Amino acid sequence: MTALDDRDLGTPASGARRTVALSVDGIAVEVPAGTSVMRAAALAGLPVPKLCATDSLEAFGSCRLCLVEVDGRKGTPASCTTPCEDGMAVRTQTPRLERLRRLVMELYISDHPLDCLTCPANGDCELQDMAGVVGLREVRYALGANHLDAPTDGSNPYFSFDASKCIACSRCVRACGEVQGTFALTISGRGFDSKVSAGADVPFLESECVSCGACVQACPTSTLQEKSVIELGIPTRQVRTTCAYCGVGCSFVAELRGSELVRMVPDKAGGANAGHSCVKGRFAWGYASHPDRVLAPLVRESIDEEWQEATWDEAIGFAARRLRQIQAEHGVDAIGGITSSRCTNEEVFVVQKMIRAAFGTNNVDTCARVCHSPTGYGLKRAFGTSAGTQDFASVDDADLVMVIGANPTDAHPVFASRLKRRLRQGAQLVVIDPRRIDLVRMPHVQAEHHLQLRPGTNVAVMNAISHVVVAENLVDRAFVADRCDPMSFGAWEEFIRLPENSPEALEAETGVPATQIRSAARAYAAAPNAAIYYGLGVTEHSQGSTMVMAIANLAMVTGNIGRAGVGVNPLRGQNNVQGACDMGSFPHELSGYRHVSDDSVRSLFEDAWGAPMRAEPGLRIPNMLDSATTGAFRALFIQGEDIAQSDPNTQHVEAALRAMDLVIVQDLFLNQTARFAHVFLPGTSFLEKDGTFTNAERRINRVRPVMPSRTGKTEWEVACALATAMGYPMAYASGAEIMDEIARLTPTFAGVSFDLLDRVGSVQWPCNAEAPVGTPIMHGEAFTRGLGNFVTTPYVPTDERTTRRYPLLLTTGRVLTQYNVGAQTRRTANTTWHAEDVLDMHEADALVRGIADGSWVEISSRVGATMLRARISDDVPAGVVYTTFHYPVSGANVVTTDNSDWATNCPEYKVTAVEVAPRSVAGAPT
Amino acid sequence: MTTDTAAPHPRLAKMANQIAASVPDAARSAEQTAAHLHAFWTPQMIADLRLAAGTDPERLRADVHRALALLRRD
Ligand code: SF4
Ligand code: SF4
Ligand code: SF4
Ligand code: FES
Repeated sequence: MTALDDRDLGTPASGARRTVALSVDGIAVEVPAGTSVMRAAALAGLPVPKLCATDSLEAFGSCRLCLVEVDGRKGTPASCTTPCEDGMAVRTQTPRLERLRRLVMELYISDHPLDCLTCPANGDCELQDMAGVVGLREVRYALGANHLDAPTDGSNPYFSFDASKCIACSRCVRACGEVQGTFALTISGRGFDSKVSAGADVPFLESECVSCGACVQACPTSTLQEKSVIELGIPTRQVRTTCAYCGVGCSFVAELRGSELVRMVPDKAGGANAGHSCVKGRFAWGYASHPDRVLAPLVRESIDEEWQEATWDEAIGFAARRLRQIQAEHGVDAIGGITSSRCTNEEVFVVQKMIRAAFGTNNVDTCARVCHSPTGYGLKRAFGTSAGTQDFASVDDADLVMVIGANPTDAHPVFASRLKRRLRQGAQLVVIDPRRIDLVRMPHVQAEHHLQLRPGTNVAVMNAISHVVVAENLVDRAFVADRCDPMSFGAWEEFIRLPENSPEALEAETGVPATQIRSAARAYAAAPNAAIYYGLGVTEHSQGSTMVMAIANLAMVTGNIGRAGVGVNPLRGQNNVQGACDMGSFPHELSGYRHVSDDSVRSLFEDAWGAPMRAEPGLRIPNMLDSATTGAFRALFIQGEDIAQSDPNTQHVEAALRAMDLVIVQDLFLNQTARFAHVFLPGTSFLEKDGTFTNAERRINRVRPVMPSRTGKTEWEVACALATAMGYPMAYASGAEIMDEIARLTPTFAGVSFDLLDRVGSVQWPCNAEAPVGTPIMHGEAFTRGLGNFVTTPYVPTDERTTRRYPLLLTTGRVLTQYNVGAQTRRTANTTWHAEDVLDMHEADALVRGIADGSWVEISSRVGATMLRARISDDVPAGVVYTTFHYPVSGANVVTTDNSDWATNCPEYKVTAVEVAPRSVAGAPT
Repeated sequence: MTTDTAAPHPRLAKMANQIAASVPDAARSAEQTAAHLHAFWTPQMIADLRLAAGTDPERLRADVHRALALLRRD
């Protein structure tokens, strides 16, 4: 069911510029050509009764409830399928129409249980509403053959399917196809025999269904219904907020009864998601009230002791005293902190301010270090801005989409739905990935090119593609001459032409046939609009930054920058990776990506904060951990991250944490890292936060408190209290006040305020005097840095090589239903789909090792070993194995090494040489 | 303001070598490595690398040694 306050105009908006003028019940209306009569009438304030139409789906015309009369035309056309025409005179209410509509309703209701009073949708049911609207007073048909005994399918943990209430309107089937792009539902039979079923008539849970909930939202009755609504009742109030899982940043309407959250409905007005969501955002929010939540501060002298509950004052006083003591003994720079991409911009900004101003050091870093730091580095060098160039809607104009090292259907599902829609309309798809991700072939989508490269050879493949563009004279000379730096282009062109960069020369290294690279390169260069979307398969390599710049080179040399349908688009993992980076979380940059060595920038902050700013960069996370093992770095404040599970080479991380004198963790749960902590400061879930998140398209969205903080404090209040206890007073009255300070100090945020966001919904930075409501597409007339910069990108093979001892390459990723280290999603019913991490391996590799599908195996690398269950899969090629890192028990990062990107130290998660051997269940983790 | 002078972490040398091998322009790798270290490394890390360069010069590429010399000149 749609959100309570949803105004459903019946059919989607028409994108046409030309308008047509008509009258509806005598009222003059002007609408874009192609608008349905139903929508025009609704816009005129004269909604026509409807059942099978909803404005998120194309009109279908099956229920015949929306009949209207049009002057000069015979009959009573369905208003949802009738387009408006100039001069049309429409009548929506006549005695004939009323009679016909009552007849239609009568037929529906005669085969519908009359249990409205006890139905969970009572008060929120379109069938019930329409019966009222058409004035149905009696049902004259005797109960004959009917569906009242049809069974209920409760297999999905979040929604149920009560077939007895189905009116066969097909909205669910169309939502699954048109909106979600999964095509899991079908409607079989005709007339009375029409029946909705999942897959080949199996329970939902056994079908292809990915539990996005689009069908539940589209269903006008209680047939598809959230179980939370069945349990708790129809919600009574709403709060608009933003999903805290992935970098798509979907907007939601949280619907509550009193202070109890009943359901999350994706917001149709949401700039990133336009009313769609995935299983995580819509359903997996139960962790916020999970009994594992820690709600009071905890303290202990040593990590071998039990935790002691403490008051906030005691915990903060203890932390402040120890931090100052460590600085007195070991130097100011012996301490530092990590900000979290799961926290709001305001929380992150305050923590980095606490570290720079109160701790007095630039030893601040963020978890983006281990995911998208190469994006920041690479795109800043190439374009001048550390961010993606487009909004998500841009993909609607792309003629070719290149997806590199990303798996959007699992990791960025709502963007994937949008992308699949464009692909179904005919855009071409190039996938560059060692794995056969779902997009390569799925219902109604098939990649034209799948370059199945050997892990670690990204730069070689990208160089080979650009080589073809240059060698075959496919360069957009006008764009390059107009928009790019000629010196850098000259040097790059000379480099990329070198025979060593040809697809043929690199074929043996990359494993990709030269002919495939040539045809993909030609297709990309020939497409009127070609767009690149990439993920951690690009960044998490020893040449992550080089690859980002190689991607930027390709986009520039083909003129694919600066308009809708093109661009370079990093798909960010966590909800606020972009924001955490924007907020000055990197040790070398103040907010807005300005280097700490810039005197004028530093003095701006010094004046505002009344504290000296250091001109030299601080330590990055891996440097902090390394320095901890040598004894130089001794205390760490960790905001909402679980580095003991998420960071590579777990043994090394644990040794570093254990070596520290003080570890302060601010989080929801006692995570793996908290095992090494001395102070635990309970954090707040997104449902309790008041602030903003910035998604992968630079969109700043409001996060509004759905319920009061369960810990009694906001996270930024805790950071302020710690700074104050250390002798640097910090205080804010509200999240809005923090954003005002961010805006004063950060040129790209200059125009942002909570007031503006509450008024316009969301804005994409830069948002300032030149762009008062933001910038959906960047680098339109000129690059932020002026001229686009080509950087030469020599391919340097990683040190991580396969050997006879470690003959396989391990690469890692994530699944749809789980999120990052799983701390949240493992505490929801999403475990129904992914109850453990498994190791995907090719049949040939399994066969020679005597490994059977589902059996336990030990996977070992040069740094460690762990155990997982094997899954035989042809999604991975022979020689490559793949796993996820959602469960601490499987410890995927026990085997990943501390190799990292040369420029940013982003870990090389995507390439680890390993061996896999069968193991008995006896040694398996429990 | 520096921290304790503990023994440098062995990874610094590896990182510096990797930077020198990966900067865009191989012909100017020493200059580009120096600029990179200056922009992204703490003074203590550079000092530690210098220490490593003195005690175990073989572990560092020649252009890393030259980069350290350039940084001293700044
Ligand atoms: S939940 Fe989503 S994927 Fe599953 S049937 Fe409904 S629309 Fe399709
Ligand atoms: S399940 Fe709901 S949306 Fe689907 S056909 Fe039945 S009534 Fe319509
Ligand atoms: S996890 Fe991502 S795609 Fe799913 S609802 Fe949240 S923001 Fe949207
Ligand atoms: S709403 Fe138009 S035919 Fe159903």
